[in-house]
Amino acid sequence: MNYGQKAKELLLDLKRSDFIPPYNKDTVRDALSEISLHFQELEDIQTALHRANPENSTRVRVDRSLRPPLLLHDAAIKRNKRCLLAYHVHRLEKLKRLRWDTTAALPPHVKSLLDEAEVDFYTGYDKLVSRFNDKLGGGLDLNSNVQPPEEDLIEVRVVKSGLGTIVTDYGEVSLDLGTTHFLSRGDVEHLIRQGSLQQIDGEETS
Amino acid sequence: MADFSNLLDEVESSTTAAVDNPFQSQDEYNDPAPILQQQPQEDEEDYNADDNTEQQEAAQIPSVLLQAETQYREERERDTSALIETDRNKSREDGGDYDHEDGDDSILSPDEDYETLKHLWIQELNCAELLPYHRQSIPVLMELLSAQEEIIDDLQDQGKNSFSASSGNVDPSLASLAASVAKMDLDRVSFLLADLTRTRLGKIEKYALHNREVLDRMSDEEISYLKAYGELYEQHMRRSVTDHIPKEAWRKLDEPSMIERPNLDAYVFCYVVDEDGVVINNHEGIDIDDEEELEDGPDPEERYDSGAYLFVRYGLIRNFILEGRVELLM
Repeated sequence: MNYGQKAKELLLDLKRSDFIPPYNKDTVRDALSEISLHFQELEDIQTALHRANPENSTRVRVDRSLRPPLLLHDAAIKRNKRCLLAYHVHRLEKLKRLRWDTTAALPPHVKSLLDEAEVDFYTGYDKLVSRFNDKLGGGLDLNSNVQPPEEDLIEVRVVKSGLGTIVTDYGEVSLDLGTTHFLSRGDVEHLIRQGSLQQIDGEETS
Repeated sequence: MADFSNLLDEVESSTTAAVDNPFQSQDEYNDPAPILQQQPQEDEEDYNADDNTEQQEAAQIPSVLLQAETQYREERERDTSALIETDRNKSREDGGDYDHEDGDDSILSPDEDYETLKHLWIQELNCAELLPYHRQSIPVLMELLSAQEEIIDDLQDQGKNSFSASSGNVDPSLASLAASVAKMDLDRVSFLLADLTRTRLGKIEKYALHNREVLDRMSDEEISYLKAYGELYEQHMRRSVTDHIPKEAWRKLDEPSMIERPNLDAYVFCYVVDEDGVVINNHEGIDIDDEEELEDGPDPEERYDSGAYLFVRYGLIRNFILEGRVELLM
């Protein structure tokens, strides 16, 4: 019986990766079965006590020497539970951050890292936030205006191909690869966030 | 040395006469009120005279400053009303909307609303816990946003149409300039509102279990958001972890030790607004075990007057912040 080793492995996994590691279903299952093992031990002790005091089934007088194992197993279960919850919560936090940063649907390379339940969570969360956004009114979009506005018009360079044209207040702009444009911030903000356009600071370093 | 108050009377009586002023001839720009432009320069001359006066006349200087200030302010009001007049003249064709919005909103009321919004935003950013939802101003501001957008669209249209039958009086370049200025203003307000809402949502999510107890600080939409988020979260936890745990007792997700509460012991910068000052008990909210320390040390209760800047534990000033007597600083 390794007390909390599997749970520790899960947490180390999280620590070692930038974003999130692939969902380690096996280790999670192992940790859960550890909890069951501890519980099994507790039950055994309990039946042993019952057998020792058959007439006193409700109020079991616990022998002093039997108290440590009870406490230990209870603590082990709680520890495993805490580690498992922390593992899942951490992954959820990363998913939420992803949603706020990109506003997009789940990209496939992320989806492969997730468990089924997490995919459901992501879609549910996406729906929740979008619904809140729509209810806000005033034309306010929570996913735009992430930085304080500095200039109205910014210079951008197209780094991804196949973007087509966008319609601005000044007419249509065709976004060919490598071209530079001077456009209003509101129109291009979401493209910059996606990474299709790159903002030019005015200080050319590359 | 001439008696200063007499000098001042002379100055006032001569304002109506057209005094030949060297500064004015350099101005190409035709100011509609040349008399008004005189006064600051004459006050400047008074100031130069000030520097030469003796100390005994120091007592009279503040009144000069006061008068200069009122004169300057009157002039500014007259200038802005002149601006409103010219704008009104230019956009008479637009009907009541344009001058009403521009005359009132662009000069006075959005500033007040904007200041409130900025203030709310700063408070929310620096506070560990969720602050009460400002029912008076936030919905109003949202409506203002959509109204502003319409104005901007109008202005932009005017900017593009050089020959328009309906808006013959509007100068297109001025309109497009006004459009870009109004757009910047709209962007600012949008950013503040969006960031405020995002910060609040972040706090609601982070301390979700704790916030179940402070529902009065949230708007209705936020409450429904909290509920939906809580359900989503709980469902995921149940599915992944706790449903696989044997006994009911260990399945609980909201035991007291598991609820994450905002850190009320964080230190914050703040500023005392209340004119009566505040009394802060340094020992509030913490346990002091050593009885001797309590008696020997300085008195824990201290009084801070209005205008004081403090760096304190958030827990100490929490109630004051909720009442509005103390403000958080960036």
